[in-house]
Amino acid sequence: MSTAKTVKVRFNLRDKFGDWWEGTTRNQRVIFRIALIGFFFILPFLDNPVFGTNESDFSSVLFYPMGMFAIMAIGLNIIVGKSGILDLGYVAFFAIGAYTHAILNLNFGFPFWINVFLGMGFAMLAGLMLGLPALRLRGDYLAIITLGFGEIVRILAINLNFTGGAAGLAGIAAPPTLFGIEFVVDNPKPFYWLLLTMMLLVIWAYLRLVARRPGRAWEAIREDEDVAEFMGVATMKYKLWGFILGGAVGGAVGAVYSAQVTSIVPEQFTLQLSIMILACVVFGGMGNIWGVALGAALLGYFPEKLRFLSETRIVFFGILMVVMMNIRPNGIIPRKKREKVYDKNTGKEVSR
Amino acid sequence: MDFSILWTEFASLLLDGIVVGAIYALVALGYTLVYGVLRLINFAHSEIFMIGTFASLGVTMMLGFTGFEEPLGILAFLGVFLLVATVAGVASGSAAMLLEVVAYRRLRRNNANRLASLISAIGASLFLVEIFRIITDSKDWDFPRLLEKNSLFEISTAYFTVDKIVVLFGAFGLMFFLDRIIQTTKLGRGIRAVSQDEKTAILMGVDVDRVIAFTFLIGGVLAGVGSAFYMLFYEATKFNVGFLLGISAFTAAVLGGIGNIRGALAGSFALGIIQQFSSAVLGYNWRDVVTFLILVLVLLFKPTGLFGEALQRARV
Amino acid sequence: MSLVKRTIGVAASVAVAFATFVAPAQAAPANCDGDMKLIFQGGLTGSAAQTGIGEYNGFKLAVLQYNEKRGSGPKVEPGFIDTQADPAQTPPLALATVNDACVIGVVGGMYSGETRAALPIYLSGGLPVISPSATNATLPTVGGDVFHRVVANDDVQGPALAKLAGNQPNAKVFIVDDQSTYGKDLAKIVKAKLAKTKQVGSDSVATGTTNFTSVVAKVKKSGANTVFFGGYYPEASKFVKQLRDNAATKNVKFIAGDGVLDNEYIKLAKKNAEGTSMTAPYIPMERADKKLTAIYKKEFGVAPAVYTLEAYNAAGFFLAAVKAGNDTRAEILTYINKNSYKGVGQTLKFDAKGEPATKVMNEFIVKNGKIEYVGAIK
Repeated sequence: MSTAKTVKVRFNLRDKFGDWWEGTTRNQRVIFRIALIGFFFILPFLDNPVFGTNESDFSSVLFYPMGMFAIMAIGLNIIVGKSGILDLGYVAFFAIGAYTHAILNLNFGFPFWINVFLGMGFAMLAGLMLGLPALRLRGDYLAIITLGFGEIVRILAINLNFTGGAAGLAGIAAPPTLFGIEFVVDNPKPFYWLLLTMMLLVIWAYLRLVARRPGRAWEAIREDEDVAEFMGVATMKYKLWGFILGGAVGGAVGAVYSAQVTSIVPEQFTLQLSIMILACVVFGGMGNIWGVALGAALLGYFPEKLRFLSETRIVFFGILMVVMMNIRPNGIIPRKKREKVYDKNTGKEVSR
Repeated sequence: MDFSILWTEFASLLLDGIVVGAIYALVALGYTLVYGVLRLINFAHSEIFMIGTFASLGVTMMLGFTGFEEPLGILAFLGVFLLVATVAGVASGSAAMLLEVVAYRRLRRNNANRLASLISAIGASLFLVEIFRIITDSKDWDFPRLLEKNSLFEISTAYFTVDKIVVLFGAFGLMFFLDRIIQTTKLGRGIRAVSQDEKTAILMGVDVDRVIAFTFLIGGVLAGVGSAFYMLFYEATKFNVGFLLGISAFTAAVLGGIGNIRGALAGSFALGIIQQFSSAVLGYNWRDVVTFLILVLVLLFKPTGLFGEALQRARV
Repeated sequence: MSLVKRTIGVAASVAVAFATFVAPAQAAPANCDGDMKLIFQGGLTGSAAQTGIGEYNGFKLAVLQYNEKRGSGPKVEPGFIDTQADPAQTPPLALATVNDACVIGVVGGMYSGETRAALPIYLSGGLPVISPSATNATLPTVGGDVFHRVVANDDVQGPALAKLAGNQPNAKVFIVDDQSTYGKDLAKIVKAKLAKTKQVGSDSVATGTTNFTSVVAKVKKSGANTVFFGGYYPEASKFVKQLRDNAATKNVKFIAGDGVLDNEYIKLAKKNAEGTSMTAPYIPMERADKKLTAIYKKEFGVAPAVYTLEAYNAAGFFLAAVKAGNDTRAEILTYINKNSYKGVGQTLKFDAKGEPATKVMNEFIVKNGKIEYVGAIK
């Protein structure tokens, strides 16, 4: 084989989009980006009977579960999708962020914005403490440890006094008024926009990291950890970083979440939520943040949309997951399968 | 924190831990066998167990038990219970085989990544839980007391009641039976071959599809009979009974070394005993914290579990 | 493709997308253009569905009966929001409920977590709420003026249970809770009110626990002759069965709160339920109104469940307000705050915080496989 080999021909949304994207000019890309971001910002106003959720308030659903799932899925994607670490306890970071804001605000009066960073910090610390022993293990052993960790955080929340015990905590403060927009409990839109802004920041930071050494290190670790180690990649260090950064995202949004709902109970931070976020990552296409975010949004959207089925909606949801996985096992928007192909003789890049 | 209870109640806690562990073992074997051949965590296995509990219940309901009659004599009981266990085993076994075909086979054929199978498993699990929730009206269902739970003999503080003895005998018998199947039959050898190296097994002429179907069948049957023992012991079930038990059984399998039969057994008994002792000493609410910490410690020193991962070295 | 064509293409697709989204969008109606709605909030699917369906049936029966007999009065639509008793799912549903101008009241939520998640939203919309079964102590603060509840909070039931336990001959009490908001708070108050010398130990199990053998071992070791369980009947039935199966603990007295007062408890625990003492701030429907019970059984095919009665009476209170001519949220709220309502098996009257003003606590015992009324606890 001396010339470029053709990659399998399957309809791939990402590749079609990738083709188009490469044909656009810089100005067009900027306009596209602005239009897309604008679309998501005005989305709460676009509620309608066909596409909106009828029985639940649409902008509230956009905040939770859709937006929350999306940003948590992006965070988990760093751990699972990029680095290949199976984490079944992601909810722990979310819980830590939520409780940090709740406890520090109720007991010491810390303001919201400080607590977001502290929530992030504590989640990162937890990620470090968990990661150091756990990341030495392989595959499914790591999975059970992370599962256990998620459960432990929840059990501690139930049993310790300063977390409010089984009754949880109430009366948590919302963020202070920003640019004249009030954050009140009966209007989720500002919270949604805040979440959207955070998501943009996370995506921006993520794309920066992925383009550089950490991204390549994670890819190498995911493909084959032993070879990566052998080739000189400091696997433990990067795995730990992936874990900590993924956790940081969870912690930050946890604080936002508790600020919006103003009262939290341990039963909101269950194993089922961890599994749901994992499902979002796999469903959307691991390693690919656009797919992951889209998958998360869909998985958050459908149970609400299907409420008219009342009793049987979870049944359909389960069927949906099985069918989706069987039809498109690599997710809605799979990881970029295009690789740069070089001509063996001339060394120049060959386009397909 | 009451360590003295370990002294005074040691025997009874130990016995109860072993009985619970025996039930865990029958479920954990399903997880470990499937993992051995497919490298897949079968998240829906807990629902296979749940189906068995309702199948058991169905048998007694069809036989006309209301739960308010007097318990049976020993012979009648054995007859009824044998029927219950058989039906439950068949129900769970068939459900497991069906699950494999519907949720995993296609993914396996297309060499999809493991996580896709995991999510498919989760979807199947959600589906089964909800279907049964609707069928059973979301209620708790009780199982009639088939045999008076008399204590046959005592060792220190441990009361060996009839139901515990039945569970222990039955579970150990099944494990022995499983070992014979794995060691001596052709399909058993196939399981060992596929779990060791699937590609070579294919080259050696092993019908992988058949082996995998058989693995699911065995795992399902074990869970089904385990569910009959569970019903004998606890006498109640609900559509979500699989969840907590599944997590414990899965933890047990990992503790012993996932993919290893001997490990699954050791892990199950170890877990059952750890759970009993830690809840007695620290209180039930700290049970899972202790279990988790012990798991971490074990894995730190033996990263592939107590017995490691090799299925083919397994022997009861 | 040329730049012009592409731009037109993009603009066209955006326009189409907008048209799909914006054109059919309906403006939220400022006034109600249909019948008044009464909404039930609770878990109709999910792990707590058994309780939720029991409450919903009671609620629905009350509304159906009202509509049958209303004559020329206004019709009331019964509706529901299924939160699965999950506080995470509640806010979107609560917001949709508040924004629906036809909704005049909410019976719910079922459990404290989901109720607390919804209350700030209901408060901001001035929507009156009567919860049949949410017990957490912070709810009146979070819910402000709009929150009321039927179930007596633990300040009444806890001390009564402590008294009941303490009055056992030579009482040595072991206290267990199920880690739910309801059970844990109740156990906490019992521990506080019961004389320390009478307490011999405690434990806390997870909801959904089936294996109580370690708890039984602890009870045995503590030498207790009385066990108090703060929780609901599924766990209670398994616990009491395992207590009675163990030769050492088989004669302990079993005491529980209103979460266990359900015929299902007897069905699940069978002979082992015998002798259980329970407390509740009401008289169960079977005893209070046999005719109603028969109608209920005919309509839904099952017997009334724990908290069915509370939901029935909560809905009844709202309907009484409607019958008296009130048809806005503010009017109904005022009516509920001011008046009392004679329901079935209990009278509802709320104090300034929304707690039940009537501090009646009744004692029940399981005798001969049936729940028997013993008397009021003073």
